[in-house]
Amino acid sequence: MSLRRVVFFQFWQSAIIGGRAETACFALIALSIFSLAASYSQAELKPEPIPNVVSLATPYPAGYAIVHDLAFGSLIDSSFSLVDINTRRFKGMISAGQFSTIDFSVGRQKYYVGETVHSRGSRGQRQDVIAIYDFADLKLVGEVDLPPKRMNMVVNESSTAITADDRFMLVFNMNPGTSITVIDLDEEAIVSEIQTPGCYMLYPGLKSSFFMMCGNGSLVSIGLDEKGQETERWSSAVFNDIDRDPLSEKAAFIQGVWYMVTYAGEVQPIDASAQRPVIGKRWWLTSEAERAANWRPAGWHGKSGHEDGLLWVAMTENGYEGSHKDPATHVWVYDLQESRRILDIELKIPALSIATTKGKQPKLLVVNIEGSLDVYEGIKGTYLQSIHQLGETPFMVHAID
Amino acid sequence: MNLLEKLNKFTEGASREIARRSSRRGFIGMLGTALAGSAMLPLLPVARASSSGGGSDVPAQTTGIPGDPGDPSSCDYWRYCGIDGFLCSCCGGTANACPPGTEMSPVTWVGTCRNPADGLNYVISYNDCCGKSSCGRCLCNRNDDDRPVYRPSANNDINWCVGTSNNIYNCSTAVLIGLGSQ
Repeated sequence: MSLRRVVFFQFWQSAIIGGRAETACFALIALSIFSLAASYSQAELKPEPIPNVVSLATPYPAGYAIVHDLAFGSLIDSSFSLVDINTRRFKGMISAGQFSTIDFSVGRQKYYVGETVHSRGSRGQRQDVIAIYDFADLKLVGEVDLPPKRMNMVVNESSTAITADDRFMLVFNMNPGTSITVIDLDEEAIVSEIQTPGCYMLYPGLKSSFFMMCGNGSLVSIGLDEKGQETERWSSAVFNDIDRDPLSEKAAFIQGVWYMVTYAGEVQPIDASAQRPVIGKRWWLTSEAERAANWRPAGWHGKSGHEDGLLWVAMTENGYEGSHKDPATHVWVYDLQESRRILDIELKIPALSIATTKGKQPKLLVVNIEGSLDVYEGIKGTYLQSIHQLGETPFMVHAID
Repeated sequence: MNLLEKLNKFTEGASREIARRSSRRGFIGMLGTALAGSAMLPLLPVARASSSGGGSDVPAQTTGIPGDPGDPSSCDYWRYCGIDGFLCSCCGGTANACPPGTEMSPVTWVGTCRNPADGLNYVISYNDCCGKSSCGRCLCNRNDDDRPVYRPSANNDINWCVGTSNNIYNCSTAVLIGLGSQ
């Protein structure tokens, strides 16, 4: 029965049962008006196409971000959610295997997802791969098979990198011997493997080089030629006291300088703007009084930077030996030119990880301990809004700009 | 005006209370409260709060070894001072044995934990159990003496299902190796 007939029937029945002529007349008039209006305003719905899949407009507008779900409770099924932090819209997702990584090239309009899968799901032959997806359709457009030894660890963005010239992708391997796989992004093919005994993770500079942190407290810098082959290797003196107060391997890259921070809160700039890195002068995030009161860096990945010389660091006021991965209750903002704090943001919900957007009105993005993404004004600290339901255990967020 | 100037302008004349302090126990308690009220991620120290009795609904256990106190299904068990993962005691294994059908990783990270019964430090090997997907029970993360990835033997972020026939992570054990430095 159509909606119009139902309405008519209910009015008419009411009129008859009630025995009131006025009501019956009113029902007839109402039905006439209703029918007349409907015939003019409601065109018949048209059949819709099948299949029908959304494509994303590219280039993306400002404000897109990727949230990385580790899926701790089902590690073989991680994912990446693409969201618009301005509209709070969920734009799509990329599915991945265990201990995945993500890099992206805005110039190439592609994502490069590192993953480990097995031929029969949770068993069978191990297969490591860089799966390539395009920005517009989040669709697989290529694969680079890796030797089955890519680093498998809880989300860490220094496991992989794309060089500053957007030419090569670098993949850190550990089995437990260490090496770097170099992929030519033009050819989407491996061009070299560089052995790196005793050294770990990847920190690309502005030139065709990168450095790694070594287990003896030094770093090693490796230069690449235009074919992705090693051209130079240089080791620094020991500068990192790993036993006493080590530098966290989770760092922020700002204006050619990597900003590393010790567990206790001492900042170590490493200038990577030239072929060889330069280890800079240290400074403290905290005053002596704040250190005495147990303020320390915290969060899973708690550093982010901005091209105007700003550093955001996630902090906790409940620091102790072993608190370096605790949720962060605050984010402190630093002027790098003067090495001083200029803003304290008390978070609505404690943070696991943070990121910031570029531009003149940067946003602070916070993956909180409830698994949602909170958005704050980056240079005011004002809470703006949240996006929920972003996977089982979201660990990390990356701004795409 | 660049961002820094804008920020300076914004903060000019403003003062904020930045030293609101509370004890660590208070902090963990806060997280525990939040945990009870939402579908909280079982992460980091939150994991410790969530798996240390009460809401975890896992029957209490003992190792049965004299001088080895505590509940191996609880994140507060003394051997777990540097662990990160699902406790094998909750997954069909024990504190020092993998669940049926899994494979124990031969290489791993180690920590030094103090046994409250005798006050001695012991070296604990946190061997992962491999070959089945995430157990998903009794997630526990404690980071005493945890060091960054570039000191892998003291890092608990790494999937230590290395050298096994399959590198899929299931859960973590805490095998007592011997006395450490006192």
